[in-house]
This record gives sequence, structure tokens and C-alpha cells, in this order.
Amino acid sequence: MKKNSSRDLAVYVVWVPELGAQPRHIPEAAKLVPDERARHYWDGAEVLGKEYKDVLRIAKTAWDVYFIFPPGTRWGSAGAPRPDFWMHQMSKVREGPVLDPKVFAAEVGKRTAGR
Amino acid sequence: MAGGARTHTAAASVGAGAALTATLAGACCISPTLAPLIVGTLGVSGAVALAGIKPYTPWLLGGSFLMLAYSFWSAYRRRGDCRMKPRRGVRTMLWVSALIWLLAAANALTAAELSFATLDSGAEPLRSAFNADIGKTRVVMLLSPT
Repeated sequence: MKKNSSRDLAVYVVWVPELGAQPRHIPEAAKLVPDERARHYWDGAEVLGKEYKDVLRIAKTAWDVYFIFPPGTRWGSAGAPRPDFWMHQMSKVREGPVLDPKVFAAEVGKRTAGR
Repeated sequence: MAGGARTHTAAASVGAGAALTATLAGACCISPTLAPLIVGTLGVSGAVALAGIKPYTPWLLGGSFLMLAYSFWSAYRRRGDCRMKPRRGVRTMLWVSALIWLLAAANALTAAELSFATLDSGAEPLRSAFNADIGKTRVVMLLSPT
């Protein structure tokens, strides 16, 4: 995000209770994402992770995942949209590529170039 | 947000009280009476955690602080040529306004520390924000904060 200054980029960080995490841990962790384009959420029941388990067709609740959605993607009432591109750091998940920050940043850059 | 609304209500009451005091205090040397009114009104704006004006929190708090400082200067300075002294009620109102300003500032700082929405009742808050940004490229991350 530091390298991408596009105003046409929005980031949503959904914090989940994996590894014993609680809401009180968020303020400190949120400092890692100080960008004003980022909005933070706490998903204590992992509603989104369970939904993306189905969307991504993976065997476990999704977390430590990174999604990119292009302009025009709408989140309808039928359920969360499938990402245009995604990466993850979950063990034993082979449905998507393991996170490579450079690759992910390049994918974001491609979509926001000139905007 | 509820705390901000309570502060809002309290500040509105002070604003109304300050207006009444200003009317009763008379017109000579207007600043000692007008200033608490303005501060009282800005005290309403001191409930800056209210969502729509949240981005302007520092400016509103800074502006109301300057007004507050000016009011104290006006209310407690030596009178000079002006024979009219501010009434005790005006000064009381000023101190109440100062207290409200402090509460609003503390509220804004606390809110800044906890500025995240919960999805306990479903993903609707995220969905709304996501769709509101439909013209943008959007990145969603699901992470553990530990």
C-alpha cells in the first residue's frame, strides 16, 4: 500500500479470532496498516471466513487470505463475491497461490495503474 | 457512538444555557458573554465522533480550543474602560464548556483507538462499504491480529 498511492484503491482488513486473537489486539495490529484507505473490521464469528471457505472451495475456514476485486464487482445478497485474484498463507490449501507480497502488490498495481 | 450522542445532548443544553446567559448579561463588552455561547455551540461540535464529521475532528477540537482560550481571556481579563463585568453565571458556563470540551476530546481520542466495526451480526457493514466503493479496486484481507 505504501507503494501504491492510487485514490481508487480501498482496503478492508477483517481481523479474525485465529491464534487466540481478541478485539483488544486490533489497535496494536492495525498500526501495521496505517494507510487512511484501510478500514478495519472484527469478525468474531468468522462469518466471512466460513463464507469464503465455500466461495474458494477450500477445506477450512478462510483466514490469512488476501483478495483483490476489480472496480464494478458488487457484493449482492446472494453472498460474498469471488475475488478476481487471491493469495493465502494457509497450510494444506492448494486451491490458490501462497502469498508473495511482491506478486500481490504487482497485481494491485496492474488494476490501479493510471487511476 | 452513544457516548458521542450523550456528549452532543449535554453540549446542546449548555449551548442553550449559554444563549440565555448571554441574553441576560447585556450587550456591553459582548465578548465575555458571547464567547461562552460560541464555545457552548462548539461544544456541540465537540461531539466530533459523530460519523459524518469525524474526519474534521482535529480541526473542530482545535477551533473550539481556540475559542475556549479566547473566552477565558475575555472573561478573566482586566476590564479597563468597560464597566460591565461578566456575571458569575457566564464564567460558570465557561467552565462547564471547558469540561465538555475535555470530555469531547477524550471521547474523540478513545474513538480513534477503537475505530473498527464488528461483523458479529453479519457482514453487512463490510458489504455496504464494499459496494459504496464499487468504482475502486478493492483489497480484502482476513488476518489474525496476534
